[in-house]
Amino acid sequence: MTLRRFIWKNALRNKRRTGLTMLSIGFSLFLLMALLTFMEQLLNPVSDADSALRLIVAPATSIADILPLAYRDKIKRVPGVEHVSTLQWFNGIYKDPNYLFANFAVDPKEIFNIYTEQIISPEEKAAFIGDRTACVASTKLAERYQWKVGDRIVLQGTIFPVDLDLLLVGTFYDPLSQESMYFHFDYLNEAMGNPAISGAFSVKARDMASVPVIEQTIDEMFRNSPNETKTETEKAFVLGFVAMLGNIQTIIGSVASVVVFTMLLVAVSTMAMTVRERMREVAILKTIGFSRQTILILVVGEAMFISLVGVVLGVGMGESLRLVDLTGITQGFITRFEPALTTYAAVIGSGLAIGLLSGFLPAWQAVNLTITHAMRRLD
Amino acid sequence: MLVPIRYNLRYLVVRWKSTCLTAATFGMVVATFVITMSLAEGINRALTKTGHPLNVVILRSGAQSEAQSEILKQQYEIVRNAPGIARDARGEPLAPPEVITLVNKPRLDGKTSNILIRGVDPQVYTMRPALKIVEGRALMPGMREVIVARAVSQRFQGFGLGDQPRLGRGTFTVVGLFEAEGTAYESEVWGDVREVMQEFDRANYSSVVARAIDRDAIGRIREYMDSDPRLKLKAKDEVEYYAEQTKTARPVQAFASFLAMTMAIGACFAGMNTMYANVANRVREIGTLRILGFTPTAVLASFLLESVCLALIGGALGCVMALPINGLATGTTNFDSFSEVLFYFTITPSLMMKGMLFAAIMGLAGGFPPAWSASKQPVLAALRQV
Repeated sequence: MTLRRFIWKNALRNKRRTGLTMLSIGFSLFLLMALLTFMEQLLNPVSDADSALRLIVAPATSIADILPLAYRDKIKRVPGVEHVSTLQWFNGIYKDPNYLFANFAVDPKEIFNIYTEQIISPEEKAAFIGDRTACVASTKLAERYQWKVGDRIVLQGTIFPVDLDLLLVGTFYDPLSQESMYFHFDYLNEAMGNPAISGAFSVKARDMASVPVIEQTIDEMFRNSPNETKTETEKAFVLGFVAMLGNIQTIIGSVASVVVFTMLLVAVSTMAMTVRERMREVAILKTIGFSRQTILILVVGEAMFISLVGVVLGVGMGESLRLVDLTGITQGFITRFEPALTTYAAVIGSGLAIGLLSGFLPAWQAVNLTITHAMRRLD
Repeated sequence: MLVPIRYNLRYLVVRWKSTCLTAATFGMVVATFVITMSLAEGINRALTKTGHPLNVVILRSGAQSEAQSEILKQQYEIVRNAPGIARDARGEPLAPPEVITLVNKPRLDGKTSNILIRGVDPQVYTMRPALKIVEGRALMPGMREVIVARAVSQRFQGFGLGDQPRLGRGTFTVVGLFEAEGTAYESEVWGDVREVMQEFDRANYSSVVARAIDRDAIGRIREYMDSDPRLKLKAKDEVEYYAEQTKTARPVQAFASFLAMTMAIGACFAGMNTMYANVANRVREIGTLRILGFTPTAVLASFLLESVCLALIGGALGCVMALPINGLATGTTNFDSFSEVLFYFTITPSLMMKGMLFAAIMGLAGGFPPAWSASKQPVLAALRQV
């Protein structure tokens, strides 16, 4: 009878209890994994090498304001700036006013030079540039509405008192699987009677070193003008939006710790039950000469085994979230489920810690009972 | 004939250690559920309390919120003379124009957020009676000054009484702090409509809020706006207008449900464990109950009841644990107006009832399989067990 076999036998003695404990630990770890992943994705928007080179120039006052179109050429001449495009949030509605997706008025020649990770075929890009009423959608958005190239899409204006009649000429692949659409800035500008204003500009820097310089130069250039700017990296800009949601970090963080603590309670109480039932056995083991250490290892080993299976269950359920359409549920705040390495570490670590603690506490009580006491315990 | 409930309760007391642990587990789940739901409740409350039943908000027909709307000055004259609008003491229509804009300002925690600036006409105090000046004084028309919601002055930098925040192109002096019975106005800064338009370079109003003579007149105002093709405007019942904005709380509610459901499943398994152990320890007692003439159904009911009691003790514990958070203020962004909306964690009696109901359901779900196996025990074999 090896130690491993002994643990295995013991764990399977009460299959129902062991199974239920594994399930409850599994569900809690699944929840922990989901919470940590959501928090991670909200607070650390993905940054590939290219997104670190992108800056957003927005009005300093607030997003309710506008910037003159003339700024585009001035920004273009700033040293280190490689590409500039207008970026006007149109906030158009397609059929359902309760489901919003991103739709921007942009410069079709420039936008894919700035968002280089969004991939479009050269033919479709040419078609987009060539037609003033053309639009392109991300593959995920086209899938949601079953759009095909050649479809006419009418976007109802909300901020702008115009509806836009657009022709879908292509789709682009977005690795972040966001739902977004681009159309010609000039088309919107014309429909509005040429006010020549844009809500923001998107800028691509030549290299990392120029990013802070560009930030300062642009804001300096327009300081004390009627339309001051606030230039920040794309990541900072996105985080600004997340900060608007409220104190996410505190809320999710405190919930996650409650979950872990609850899980610990459950595991400790189950293991305590198990050990209580076996007090006499512990006494017998001691009588025939097993050392305290061995007995501790036996009980802790069993608890570890149970929580490890829980870890496997939890991570398995977490991985299955990759198949869920999170974009729709979270209104686009979370588009994919990709746990970071630290999340895996935290989930597995919590599982192990729970196994250790829940096994150790009752086992310690058990080995410290005198043999005669333990023999007399009826339970 | 049912088994007396005293039997179950006394058992729970005798086994106080495991009772406490299991109740604590249920308690944590219920507390988490109540706290996250109180977030959503707080957002909803701030928005649903805001509308006045006789007020009508008039917007550009495509706009989803005041912040997106625009009403031209020449349209305003037509709007205020619509049929069905009440008149003030001087015989003027009660239909003040408003302009809405945002400023992005740093909060005390260092992060920035958008504050809604509302340019108002003196008639507004009749329209929105919830507003009370609590420090300083009211606005003087035609002055470059603002009154600030007390909650905003406590959350953002530089909006205290006497401060001079820069809004638009100029600076405004904060002359008063107000409260508004927990409505959405408690997240706003108000200034004189013409001053705000000038400093923010606005040629037109954003919206008009009109007081209808009675509930029937609301329909008449709405028809008038729809029927005049010159206008391209729509009238919305103010109560409905704010109720629609409660979709801001939807992600929070979805999050709360996901959280509560997942935790509840985990807790059910834990509760099941405890109840199974309780049943296993009482094989002989169950046999005795059966010999005394209690039916299997009575045994089933008895154990189910015990499990529900256990869960309800946990539920009560959870509600008590959640209570301290009631009334804490926090903020999120209303994505209709894109401005910060302040709200208070709100734990209502009905929310606590929901939490208890939730606990009872967990108790039933976790208690049924063990209770079932208890009722199915063969009587004689049970008595023979040591």
